[in-house]
Amino acid sequence: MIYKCPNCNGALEYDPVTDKLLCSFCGNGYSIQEVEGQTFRAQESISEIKEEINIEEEYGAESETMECQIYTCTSCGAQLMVKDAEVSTFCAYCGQPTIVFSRVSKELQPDYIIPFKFGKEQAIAGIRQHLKKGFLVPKAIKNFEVEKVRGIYVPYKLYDIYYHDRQIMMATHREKNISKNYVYEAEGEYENVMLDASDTLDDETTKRLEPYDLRLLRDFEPTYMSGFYADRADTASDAHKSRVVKRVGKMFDSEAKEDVSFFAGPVTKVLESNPNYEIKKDKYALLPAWFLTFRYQNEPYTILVNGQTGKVVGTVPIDKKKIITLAILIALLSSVAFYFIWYFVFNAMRLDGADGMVVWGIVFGVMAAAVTAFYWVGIRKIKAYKKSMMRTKSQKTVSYVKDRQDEN
Amino acid sequence: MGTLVIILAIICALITGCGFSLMIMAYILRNSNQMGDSTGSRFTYQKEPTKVIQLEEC
Repeated sequence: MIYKCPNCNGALEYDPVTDKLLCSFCGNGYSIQEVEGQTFRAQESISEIKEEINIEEEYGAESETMECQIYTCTSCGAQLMVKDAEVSTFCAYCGQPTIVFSRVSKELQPDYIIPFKFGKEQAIAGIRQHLKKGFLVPKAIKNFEVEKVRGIYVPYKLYDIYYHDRQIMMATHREKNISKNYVYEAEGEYENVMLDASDTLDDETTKRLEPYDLRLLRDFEPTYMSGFYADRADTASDAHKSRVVKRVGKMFDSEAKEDVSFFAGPVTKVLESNPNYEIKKDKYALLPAWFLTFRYQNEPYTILVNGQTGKVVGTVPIDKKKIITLAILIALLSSVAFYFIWYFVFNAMRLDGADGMVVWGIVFGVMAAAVTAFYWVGIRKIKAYKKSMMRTKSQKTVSYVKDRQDEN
Repeated sequence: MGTLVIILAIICALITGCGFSLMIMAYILRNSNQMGDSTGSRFTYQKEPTKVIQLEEC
């Protein structure tokens, strides 16, 4: 299905800046309410031919069944192959925005949608602005050439969950400095806990796009999807629920530890946990995100932008020359400063002999602890950087962006 | 003895300096090349604070 301009019959696309559907030919704008009215609603101008390819017949009963659908664009007559999860795309030949209406008008229709607030150019500008500020970002990345940029409505499930747990924790008593066991029982109500419902996207990648301001959820209207890509939820329901409960469990556990630490002292071990929960409500929403792919040294990187808040998510490679020069410079300068401190400590230990051994021993211990902390913090942060970089380079995300019909 | 102190101080200073540089570089790297890591910006899902039913020594 496509929305057509009543003035010139051109395709209408949702414009995040004006919150209207704009005609790509004559530039006329129409509000969502106007377009949803009968006069503006386009005829079913994409004829749908379903072709089900049953792999089961070919590869045996244990194989998955793949559904492939082909739509004929009435605007140019081209045949488009639409992936099973796609609900909104473009005709690869004439660029006409296309909504697979049958996929959003039946049982899997989303309840809510957050429309894009940032357009393509704003998203690209946001990424460039972030990268320009990066001291260690190579010049080639700062002036990157966009390979693909897609505005995609990602399917999410939002859950309202009641969570209760009775835990026994071992904590070190703050005053007595001995380990004791504590019983902790609490309950909590969680609202709109979100998790992406797309099998092809990594949960960790989409989690970093958060937070979305869910107060601005709107009732679902397919018109918002015109001019953007959109997928429907394709994650198995049970597996999805268990992942979201795990997420709530983590939040609950961290609060429980905080409470016990505040009450008694630092928690050293959780000895027992008996959680129970109830999913009170689940809702289905489409949330906006921009996916931008560029290449650096022949490898693809995908930067994400939250389509509502403009939050930029991604990790880029470093300028090796710059980082090596800076690291050596800092190491040398700080070594000179630390030399005087160490010299003072060792010299004092030598001069004071056995009398000052205890005092200087403590000073030595503190210094050694500081050195360990430097390495520990540094290595931990570099590991986190590498992990984050792997996500930005993820082939799964690259395919998610790439394997779609192009706009033109 | 004085020379030994100087050698020990140089070795320890180099180890400390390299560790310090590693930590500083890691911080610079995080601020410069990592965008939008969500530490501290998690959405708060709770309707109201968790209600503690029991918290005591056992």
